[in-house]
Amino acid sequence: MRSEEDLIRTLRTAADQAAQPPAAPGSLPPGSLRPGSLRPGSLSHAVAARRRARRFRQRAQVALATAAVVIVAGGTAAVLSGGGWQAQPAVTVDEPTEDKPTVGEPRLQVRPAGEVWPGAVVKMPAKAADGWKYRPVTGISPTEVLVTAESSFEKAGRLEVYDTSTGTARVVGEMPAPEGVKGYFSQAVEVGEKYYAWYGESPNNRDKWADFWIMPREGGTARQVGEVTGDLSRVERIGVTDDHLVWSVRQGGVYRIPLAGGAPEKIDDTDGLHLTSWPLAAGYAPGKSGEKNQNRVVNLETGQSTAVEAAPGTTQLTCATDWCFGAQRDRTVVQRIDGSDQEQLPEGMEFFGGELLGERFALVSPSSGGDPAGDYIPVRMVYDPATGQIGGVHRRSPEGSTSYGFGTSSSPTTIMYWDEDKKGHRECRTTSPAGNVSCQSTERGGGKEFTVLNTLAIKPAS
Amino acid sequence: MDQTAETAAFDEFIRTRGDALLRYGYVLAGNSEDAADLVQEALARLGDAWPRVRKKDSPEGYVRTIMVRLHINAWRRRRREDLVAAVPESGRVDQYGDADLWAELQELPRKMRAVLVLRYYEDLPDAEIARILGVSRGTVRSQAARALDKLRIKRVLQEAR
Repeated sequence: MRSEEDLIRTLRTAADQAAQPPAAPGSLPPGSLRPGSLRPGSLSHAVAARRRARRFRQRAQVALATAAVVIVAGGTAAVLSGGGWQAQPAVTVDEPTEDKPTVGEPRLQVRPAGEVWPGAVVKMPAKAADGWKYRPVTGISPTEVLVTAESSFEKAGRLEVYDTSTGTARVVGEMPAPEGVKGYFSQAVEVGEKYYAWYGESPNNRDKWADFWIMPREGGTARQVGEVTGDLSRVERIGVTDDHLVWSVRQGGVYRIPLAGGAPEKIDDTDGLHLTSWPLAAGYAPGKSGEKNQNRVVNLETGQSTAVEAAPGTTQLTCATDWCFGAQRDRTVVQRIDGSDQEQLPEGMEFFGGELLGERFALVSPSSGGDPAGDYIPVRMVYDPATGQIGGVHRRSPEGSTSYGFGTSSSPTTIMYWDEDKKGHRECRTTSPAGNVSCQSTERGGGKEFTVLNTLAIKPAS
Repeated sequence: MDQTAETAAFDEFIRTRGDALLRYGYVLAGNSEDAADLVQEALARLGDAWPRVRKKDSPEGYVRTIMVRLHINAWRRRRREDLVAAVPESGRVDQYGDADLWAELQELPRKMRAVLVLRYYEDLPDAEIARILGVSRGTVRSQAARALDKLRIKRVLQEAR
């Protein structure tokens, strides 16, 4: 016979072991005060996206109210779940797959990224030789992926470089936790010329505190550069030069601290600026949370400031060195940073938001539709503004869920990754005398190998 | 408070409480994807009601109540694939000793499990659980008793409630 203590312990242990997507505040720079700049995957970003979708859905529901009532009354919620997610009532009973009608052709025919860009999609192990789990950070060359190895969930403990051409990993060094800091998590890693750098936080308590670390790129011992508290510790992104570590804070403003040690100082004229990738920082036009457009890009080394103009109706305009992407309702808009070559991408390509992958590629979502059992339907699409090519990321599973990840680097990552052995699984059971069927989707298998799209291996546009 | 400050306060709430909410979502839902989904949906709803909730109620209590209600109302992820930003872990239950009990918990009807989570994880009194779930205190007690029986758990602590 078990005791209630067993139950309490089981629940707590399970909670402690809860696998969280990297969206959880444990691992990523939360970057949440300014959702216009949020990287894909953060919890705040996900919530902001969902709130936008909710608003859209509420509007759509008004338009579709008549149809929805008929369908729900007829007991075939399947028509709704197949016919358009935006029409679903708040409480939905999912129907068994076999009853689910397909919804015609997907609006856009897309090929997998590995076919569009051969060589840019490669496999790598999901674990280090000693069993520590890899979390890809970013590509550092067309054939090298920087990864952190984690002893436990989201506890980065080691920096490694995996060479996809030779299939070998090289340890760069350990990522230690500072002494006496409870609940410490090292956060996003930045790739500099000479150094790797990262910052750390204790995200699960209320202390306003962060510290910064560097490690020589050729390998060696990590060194703590300094600690900050208060507003300066609200780190959203870092950069590293040969002599300084640089960071911006969520409320705006860019600071630096000498690598040799010393006091942090604010870089002049950086009010309201947010690092994108050193030396570039961006400013934002006023706007709704989660929809703000970047309106200037500043090179903090040269002081050169470039004004960026968003076309009317554009939201979330996000720029890198050459290109900007934004949303126009459910469409994606692209332009050069000087405003030229402005273009709306075809229907069926909804801007997913976040930074430009490899500072060049836009991440877009395919529209719903199509039959994942027969057609190739990617989970996401990557769009190259230089060539107009589109590559599909992973594939939507006909059953259950499909997941994928982004590199966790501080500057915009160059990679996405997924686990092709992980299969969606759907279990349905009758839940009421009236015959309502409820289905659970989970994922099973996988854990051995990642498929990685490294945009650094995509040839530069000629 | 102006809108920017409200937004900042909401984002700060997500940042500081997101992890704890994910843990709560995990014990409720039994898997990390549904947990993330529950947390995101509940936070989205909290965000829409933020200025009011912030003034009058506890945002944390509000969002936890939404989570448990969503969960037992057989609410289902709509665009699951949009919301899972990483390859989730697997096989986690094998990593600790109470795997059997955890697995059996997953077999319970949602409402029963929710009652157990509220009582033994959230440590709430039955009256509060009744309020959150919108049922009588007697229902909470009987659901908990049936759940504990199914799990072959001897009731001791419950007597003190």
